[in-house]
Amino acid sequence: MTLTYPFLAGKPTILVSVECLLSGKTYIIPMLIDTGCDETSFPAHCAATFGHNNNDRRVKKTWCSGVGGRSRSYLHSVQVSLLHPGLARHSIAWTSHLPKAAFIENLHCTFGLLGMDIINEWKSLLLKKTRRGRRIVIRL
Amino acid sequence: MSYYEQLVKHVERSMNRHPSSTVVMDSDTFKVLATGKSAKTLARRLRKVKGAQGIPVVFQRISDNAVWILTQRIP
Repeated sequence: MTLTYPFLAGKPTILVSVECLLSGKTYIIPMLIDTGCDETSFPAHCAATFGHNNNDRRVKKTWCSGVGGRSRSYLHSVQVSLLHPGLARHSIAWTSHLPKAAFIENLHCTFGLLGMDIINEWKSLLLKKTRRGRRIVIRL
Repeated sequence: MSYYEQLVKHVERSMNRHPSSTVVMDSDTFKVLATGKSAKTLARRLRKVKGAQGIPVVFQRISDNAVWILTQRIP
């Protein structure tokens, strides 16, 4: 299956469905396709949107590093799904096997990051320029 | 136009209309349900939102500035 998405706000960003595996709540959130990111991540403050508390003692905590330096990250049980880009109604095209994502303290951006852990589940990823603008082509 | 293309169009329009806020939009009706300056206030408002038919779409304006992102887990 091939899914073709337009760029969002001029960046290789797609709207994805993110489900909290604890509460079952689902949100649609923009995520940047980031091949420089090992793990799918969100800014730490986004955990509150899912009703999660980063300070709860049951939340697993790790460290990560990046351009901004070393930062605390909190692992929460969320699952990412791709929306079908070609249908006339809301529909899920694919769901990742990963049951968790990192919520990073020093990540100051306004979107999530689709990292290599999810990109590796796809057959290929292509960014291409078309007459109708830039497109993200994902083969599953 | 597909559903996804319509959703992108409405999200981009709302990003420009509320440039400094986090916005919650209904995925079925494309109506803005709530806006908030911080994630905490928005999380509170999200709980009070009634009458949403679809899935909430949560987003902020994506900056035009260049973005450098690289994250790596420290074992």
